[in-house]
Amino acid sequence: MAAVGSRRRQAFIGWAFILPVAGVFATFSVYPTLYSLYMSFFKWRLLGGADGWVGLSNYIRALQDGVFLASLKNVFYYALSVPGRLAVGLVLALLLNRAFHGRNFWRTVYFMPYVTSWVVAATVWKWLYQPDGLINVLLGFFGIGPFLWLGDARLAMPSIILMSIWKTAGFDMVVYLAALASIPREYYEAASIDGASAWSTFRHITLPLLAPTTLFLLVVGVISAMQLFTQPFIMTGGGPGRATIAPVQYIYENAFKYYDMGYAAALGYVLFTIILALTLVQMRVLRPSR
Amino acid sequence: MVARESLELVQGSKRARRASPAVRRTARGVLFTGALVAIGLAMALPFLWMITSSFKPMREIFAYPPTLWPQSPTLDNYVTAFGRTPVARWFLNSAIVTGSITLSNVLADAMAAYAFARLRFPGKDVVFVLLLVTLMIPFHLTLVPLFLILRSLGLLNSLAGVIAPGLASILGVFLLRGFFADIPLELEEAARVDGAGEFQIFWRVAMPLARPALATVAIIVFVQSWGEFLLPLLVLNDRSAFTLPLGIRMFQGEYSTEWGQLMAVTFLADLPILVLFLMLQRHFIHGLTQGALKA
Repeated sequence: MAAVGSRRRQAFIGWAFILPVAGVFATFSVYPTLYSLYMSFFKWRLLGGADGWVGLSNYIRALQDGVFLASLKNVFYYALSVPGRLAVGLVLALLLNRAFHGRNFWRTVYFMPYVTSWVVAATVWKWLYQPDGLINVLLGFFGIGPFLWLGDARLAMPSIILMSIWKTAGFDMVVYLAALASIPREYYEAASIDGASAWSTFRHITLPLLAPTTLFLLVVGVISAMQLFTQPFIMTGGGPGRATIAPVQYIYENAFKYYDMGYAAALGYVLFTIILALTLVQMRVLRPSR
Repeated sequence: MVARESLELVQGSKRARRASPAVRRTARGVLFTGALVAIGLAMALPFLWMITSSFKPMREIFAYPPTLWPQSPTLDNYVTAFGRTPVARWFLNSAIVTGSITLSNVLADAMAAYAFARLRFPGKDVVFVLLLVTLMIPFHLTLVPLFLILRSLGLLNSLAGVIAPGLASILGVFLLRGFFADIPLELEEAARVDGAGEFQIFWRVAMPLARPALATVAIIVFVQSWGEFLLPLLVLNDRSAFTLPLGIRMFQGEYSTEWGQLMAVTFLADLPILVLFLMLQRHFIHGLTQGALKA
């Protein structure tokens, strides 16, 4: 009897315990996601509600929308920052992957940009990138520049990419450091007995053993790159022209500037489909064969 | 260490003709330290520039050649910024939002995690899988309806509208679930023998044991929430209701960018995170990566 009672009590407490979390996600995540799908099939102007069923025409419009296509191109360009941050993160990790005095100090310095918020980072870099900002001044000492980093359509996205690598590489570094620590020493001992050079040890032992970590960082990095928003929104406003407008900014503008809510919802789903497809492709193609 | 040294020996014998091992070791040491310092400077420079500039008078901000250290340090930028904009209010708003979200997450995530890890009840697995799927929903997908929902709940332009969607995090649930699952069953049984009920076991046994994991969740949620931009941008309209990230943004349009003041506000916005980070550096790095790896 006692067992039955306690089981019933467990069920009650169990449901009570998951209720807050389930409630938050039902209300603010699951429901809006489905609602968004519903909205995407309607002409939905302003905040009032549906103006009429339009089938797939929001989606067809999305695929013919020059600004949206430009924003997709931008975000694929921006995704080039991911191999960049992985490479920098790996170099940092290799630098710090030995015992020396002050190791923790440098780890802290390299990781600091990661804990800073995107708004703060973007604002400070916006200033560094000003025509009379620090970067141009420093380059000026070498007789280079000045450049219109954020005002030149060709330089704006690379400038944002550079800033993003600065901001995120420390995170990849720490993840790589954890992975490096888990590689068994015997592998390196065996390699040194075989007389392997430092480079070939790295190439044939370290790099392959880091493959799962690299895949993880790549997938997570690309997913977050596709959701680019704050950096260009703060630093360039999406310009010059459309050189740095991100899909999320365009979704935001359609919804809250032009009040074209149905269309914005459809754009959201197109972007989501692309993210999903990219993730699946990466997991398939890059999964370490074994 | 042994492996690395013998590796160097092997290479040393191969290339002994070029330079003596001692010379090469010193050269390598210099190169190594040089790289450390150079990259470190590049990483820290934006922070240094932000901080020192915030203490420079306006004429020095654009001085050429630039001064890294303020020649005549002043608090003018801070005084003017506080006088012109409700920075203090923004700071308070950010603290309220981040404080409530962090607190709520530690409690709500822990309760759900405990239920998933330790309690048996019908429907548990279905809900868990649903939460897993929810983890994959990008925020932009919910953008438009979220606004409409918050509007119909009357939460627009209020801090509650920024807080409500952040009250729980699935990442926190997963992290803590793993932690609770590892608590030995004997502890639970001992408590039960002593007459403790389900809730007491959670509160008196599991929660104190989970303190390190709870701290990890608190850190992740705090950092995320303190820097959150898109949701407040959607929800908050009045300047007095802004959180700091929104305030920083408004600052730029409205006053044709007074960089000295802007750097002062930016530094203030970054200060709590920097102080917390420098104090809890080890836990921070552990916590943030833990969250990422377990996800």
